Amino acid sequence: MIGGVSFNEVFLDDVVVPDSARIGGVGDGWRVALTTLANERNSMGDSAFGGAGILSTDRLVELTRHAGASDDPVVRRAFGELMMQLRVARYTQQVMGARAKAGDSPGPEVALNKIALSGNMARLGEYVAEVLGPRVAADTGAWGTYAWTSVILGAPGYRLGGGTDEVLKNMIAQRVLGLPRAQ
Amino acid sequence: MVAQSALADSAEQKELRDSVRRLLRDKAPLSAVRDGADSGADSGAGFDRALWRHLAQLGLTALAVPEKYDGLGQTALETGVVFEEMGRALYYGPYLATVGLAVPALLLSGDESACAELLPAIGAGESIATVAVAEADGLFDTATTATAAVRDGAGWRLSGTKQFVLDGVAADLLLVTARDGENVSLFAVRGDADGLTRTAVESLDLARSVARVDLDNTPARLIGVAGSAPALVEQVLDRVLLALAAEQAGGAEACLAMCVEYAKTRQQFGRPIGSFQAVAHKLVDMLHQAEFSRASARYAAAAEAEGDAEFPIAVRVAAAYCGEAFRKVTVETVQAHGGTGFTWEHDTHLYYRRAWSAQHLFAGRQEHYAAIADRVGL
Repeated sequence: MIGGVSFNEVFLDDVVVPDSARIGGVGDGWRVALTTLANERNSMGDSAFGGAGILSTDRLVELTRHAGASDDPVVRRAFGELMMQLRVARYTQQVMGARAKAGDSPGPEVALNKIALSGNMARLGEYVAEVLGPRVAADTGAWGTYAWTSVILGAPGYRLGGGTDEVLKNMIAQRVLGLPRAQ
Repeated sequence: MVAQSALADSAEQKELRDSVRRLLRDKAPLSAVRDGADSGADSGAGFDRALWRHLAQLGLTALAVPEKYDGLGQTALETGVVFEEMGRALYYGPYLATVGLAVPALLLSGDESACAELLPAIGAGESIATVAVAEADGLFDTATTATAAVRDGAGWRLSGTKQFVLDGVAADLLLVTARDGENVSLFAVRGDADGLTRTAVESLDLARSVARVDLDNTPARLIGVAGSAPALVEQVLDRVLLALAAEQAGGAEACLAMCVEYAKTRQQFGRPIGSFQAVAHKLVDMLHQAEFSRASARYAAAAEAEGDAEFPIAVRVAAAYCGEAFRKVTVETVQAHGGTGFTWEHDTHLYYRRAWSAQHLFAGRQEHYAAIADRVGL
């Protein structure tokens, strides 16, 4: 959707693969695939809070100032709300990590972190658009404006990658809450 | 950086949690809150004094009191555990007022002689205490304080009206903000002082006692330095918001447990309603909010306990998140229970009332958002 190559389709046509390249046992591919998905999910949850990435406080402060919006009380509160969501996600990840280390095994509830991430990417897009206004609609060439549209365009992918939010909620309903399987 | 070891319950904290949970389950059933409201007997001082003595015997009133004032010298992590359990049980009593408000107010005042005189009795459970800051506008700050302080020999006399005072009727000790010209200061007023009138007012939260306090030339003692209340009140606000966040997290967990139980047993169209995705996903959203509430309250408590620079931000993050999450969880708890969830007899409305009240009692989420923006340096 955003033209990046990291999200792609791979065509295989009679490709020869030696048995030494097989991962896991014959017939065990689904379990292997689920494990890689779970790891993708956890690393998505892990990588995206704080640090120097697009969710860093400094970047968002600079965006807001650069857009000339940092004195607007409505924007300041929207900023505070976004910051709350980002910090809560980071704190929760750290608390879950601490509980895991203390022997309270991290159950399937860690998938909540990925749901939080996809929600936060969507919230980030909304905030960016509110702050930049028309500057997200077309590229004037001005630094630090239209480039933020990559957040808006990237957000839908986060809700899908590593298991859709809906599939994760089904899994959590059954495996964490113990609710009966949908019929 | 908050230490990882502070973010998960230690063996001692688990033990504390279990004992508080057991005690409240046995001695503080939700039916008592409803029965009290039914009988109309709630004078504001109608909490269970035998249970309060029990809490004191367990050391809960002394947890946050330093050892030099005969307390247990525990941190915000331990009181956080207790507040979470009290929030789960909707405990009806002056614990938030005494331990969440008055103890930090005295400690943060830096007034060692007041601490030495007042904290031992609080820790022993013999003195119920509260803090009275808000007036008619409900704001927990000192900018609009109108209650007047006038010097009287070595002491002071206060006149004015305080509102939204938690457990104001039951309190043996009231810490009151009052103004002397430009100076707003904190004063200690005894519950039996002359010219003090406490009136219980109707509370949206049936498990919380709220009073109006009228002072008419009431004798008072200055706490700390004259004019120090503005900065002190801001710090006390952060401490009570920390306690409240833990309560809110516990309440959200209790609501989730009720809903999961109901969704597994309640049959509709020949199957349990929890098998419908519309219900299951709603409950997962509630789990999400409860888990993230618990974690953020814990993180903020750990930051406080360690004196970490993140605390001023973390506490407002937790306050804003837990307040809104708990409110939403209680809204959906009523919905998940269907018509039965909208009856007086069900526990759902007790949590619903608590959540709306708690989200607005000291500061609302818009104020938290503004504070977060200020504190991260926007």
